[in-house]
Amino acid sequence: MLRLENISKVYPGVRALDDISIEFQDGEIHGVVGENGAGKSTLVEIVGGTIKPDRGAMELNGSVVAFSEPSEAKAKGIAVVHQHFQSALGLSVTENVLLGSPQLSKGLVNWRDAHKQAEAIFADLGVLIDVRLPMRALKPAQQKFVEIGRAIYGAASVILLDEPTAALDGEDSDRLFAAMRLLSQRGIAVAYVSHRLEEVMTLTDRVSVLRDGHLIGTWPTEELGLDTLITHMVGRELSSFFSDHPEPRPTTVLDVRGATIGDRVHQVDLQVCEGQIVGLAGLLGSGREDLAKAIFGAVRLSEGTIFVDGLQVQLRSPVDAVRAGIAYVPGNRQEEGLVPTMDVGENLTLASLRDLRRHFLVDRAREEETSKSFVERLRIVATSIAQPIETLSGGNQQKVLVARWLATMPRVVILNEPTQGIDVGAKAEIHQLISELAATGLAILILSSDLLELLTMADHILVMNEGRVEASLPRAEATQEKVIEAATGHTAASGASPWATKC
Amino acid sequence: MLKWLKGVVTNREVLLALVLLAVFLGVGIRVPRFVSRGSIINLLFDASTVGIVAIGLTIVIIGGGIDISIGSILVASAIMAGLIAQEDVSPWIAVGTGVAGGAALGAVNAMLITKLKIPPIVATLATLSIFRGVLTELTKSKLIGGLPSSFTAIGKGRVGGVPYPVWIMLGLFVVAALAMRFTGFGRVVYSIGSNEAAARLSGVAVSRYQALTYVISGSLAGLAGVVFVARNGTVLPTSGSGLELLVIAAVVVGGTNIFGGEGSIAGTAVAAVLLQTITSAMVVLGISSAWQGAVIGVTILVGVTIFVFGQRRRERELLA
Repeated sequence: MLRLENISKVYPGVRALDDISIEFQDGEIHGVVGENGAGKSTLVEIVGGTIKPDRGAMELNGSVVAFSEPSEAKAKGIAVVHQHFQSALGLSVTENVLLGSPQLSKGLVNWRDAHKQAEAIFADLGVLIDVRLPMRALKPAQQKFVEIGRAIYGAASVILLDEPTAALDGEDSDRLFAAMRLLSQRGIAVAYVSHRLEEVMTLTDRVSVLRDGHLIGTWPTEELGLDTLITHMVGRELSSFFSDHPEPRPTTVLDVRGATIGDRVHQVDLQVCEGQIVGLAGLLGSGREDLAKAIFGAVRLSEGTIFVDGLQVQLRSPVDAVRAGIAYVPGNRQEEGLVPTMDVGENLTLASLRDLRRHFLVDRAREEETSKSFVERLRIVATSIAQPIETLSGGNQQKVLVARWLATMPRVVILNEPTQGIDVGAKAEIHQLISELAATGLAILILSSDLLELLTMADHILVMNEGRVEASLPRAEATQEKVIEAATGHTAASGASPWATKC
Repeated sequence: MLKWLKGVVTNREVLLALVLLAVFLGVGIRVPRFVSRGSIINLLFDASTVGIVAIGLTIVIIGGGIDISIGSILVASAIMAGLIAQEDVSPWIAVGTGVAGGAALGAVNAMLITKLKIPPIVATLATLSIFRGVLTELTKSKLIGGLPSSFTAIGKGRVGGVPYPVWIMLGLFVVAALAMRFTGFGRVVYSIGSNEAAARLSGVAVSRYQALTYVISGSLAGLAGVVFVARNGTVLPTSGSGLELLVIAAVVVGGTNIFGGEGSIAGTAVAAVLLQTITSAMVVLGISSAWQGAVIGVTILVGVTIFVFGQRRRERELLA
């Protein structure tokens, strides 16, 4: 049994976990749910020994434990399967399973023995994998199972899975769930971290809900309905936050035809009208992000044409996209958005710098004027435009990135995961901002893993699966179930027929 | 007042300048002639080669790259300029040849790095050997000498008692410092070094700017080569080997983050002079030259450690 007591963790600008106490009991499957940014990942990292909590303690089977490295957690029998793949792709399955175990680092390795052990693990989980194959030869679902195999190799007493089904289809998910049930029957404490609520409802014995770094509560799953779970998660009724932007105008701004990117995206058509918000849903690897980046020139189209305001545009790089009036607010703020060493003003003007230049020099007076006007207009909370960007809260950082693009006077704004990792209050503000932008006549394309966000913001939702548009749903017809079904390729009425959004 | 003082002392460039002053005066107590006008001028004169090359490398490193072929570019340009100067043409043509040659070799680096996407350290490690190897073969390892005095004046002539190379170095320090701070180019280079993906996704023509940094670095190494050959009157294909290490040392001690995005020309300027002062001080103090490398190495470690600690403290302040 693993007990967390009063765990807290603070990052610059965000309280990731605030006084969390949870008990993962032996033999139970314990769901941990929450929106993006609720603190789930921080929790996983603390339990797995990747980061240390600022305050609080962990108790494993009655004795207090503290880890300064993942290997220490693993040695105590705590196994973590991370959301993103963490495997050595060039090594064999067996090597990946034994990665980090003393067997691989002490003296000679008895490979026949090692392969046998790995095979036994997969036989146990009920999956068929050739353990001699290199990891990269495996399908994503198989790779996930190898990571689970690594987690349970040795004597795990607690296993944490962080969004394990993000890259899996329905059938593989079922196989994974069967394996999880098997582990719990053996007395292992299984923690299942996810924002897929249907899965949590059917699979788990108890559920803990996190919101904004706080633990809202822990309940036996059977006492909860899906509606109550959602309310606990988002903290308010779903109906209270529908976007209230006016009806789109009947002018097509962005028109994408037959977009194909290698074997990742196939023949996608997409239109966004003036003042319209189109949502793009899909799982990891659905081609969603590739498509968005291609519309922004950051990924090359192998086939297809893009029109902005009726004129065809050639996008060889984002430089061309900026000229064509297309803006892209990236999904991963830290990796693709912020320039960490610069201040608010410098981050804000990065995309519009060429308009702020006089000869070779940056016109500082105009730069300051631009920055200040956006800080005011988007209600960015900063002491001054000279404040280091890193010291802003996640929500305000996101606003700076949106402002970076508004300063280029775009026609089309693509927002990738616009509210990932920011707290609920800031989220509402960003949603309000997006509605306002739509009202000014911008064409807006939102990519989001947050279904509620898409359902409440978008006039129209496209669902991608395996590089194709699987469903096209006007707001009135879109439901959580339909989107999930299409995203996992299980649409009953899936047709190859072309469709169009109506302006 | 105390806060102001703290601000000054935590400013890296000022801190380095104070260290420089301390070393200088400290040595002066033992050897009074070390603190004379002539000695200072000689110090700067000796620092000018490293100083000029370090300007270009600072820009490359701030932009997230690295160029270790600079020593080879320097000697290649020196030989090109020397060969042209031997023909008794206008010295300006020789200077132009050296700088253009350096720029061309920088462009080769730029192409390998931005077009073929070879990691900068690998690409310039290769060109480091290639440039020098080709030269050795072409010149049959011969010494280039017998240069006309109109050309060698570039390295030896003086204005106000100060040699031209020192003026060139100081002038370039000022121009480069202003350019990095006030031009769009400077801003963009900092952003690329700090977060290349973010810069690219903000519509910055990343490859073009990266390429430009290598061409600038090549040109400055070329100019330094011209000054080098003009000053010494001769150049061998083996001249200036190992120079890149001194130049990188100056950039890093000057506070430029080796991973890019942070740093300043002013820091590099002070650090280049500091390293030369330490080297010269060891000579006048009669310390074995075998120790020089070790002392430079320790200076790098101390300099970078201070930088890392400063950064940690800033992070802690961010959290508070």
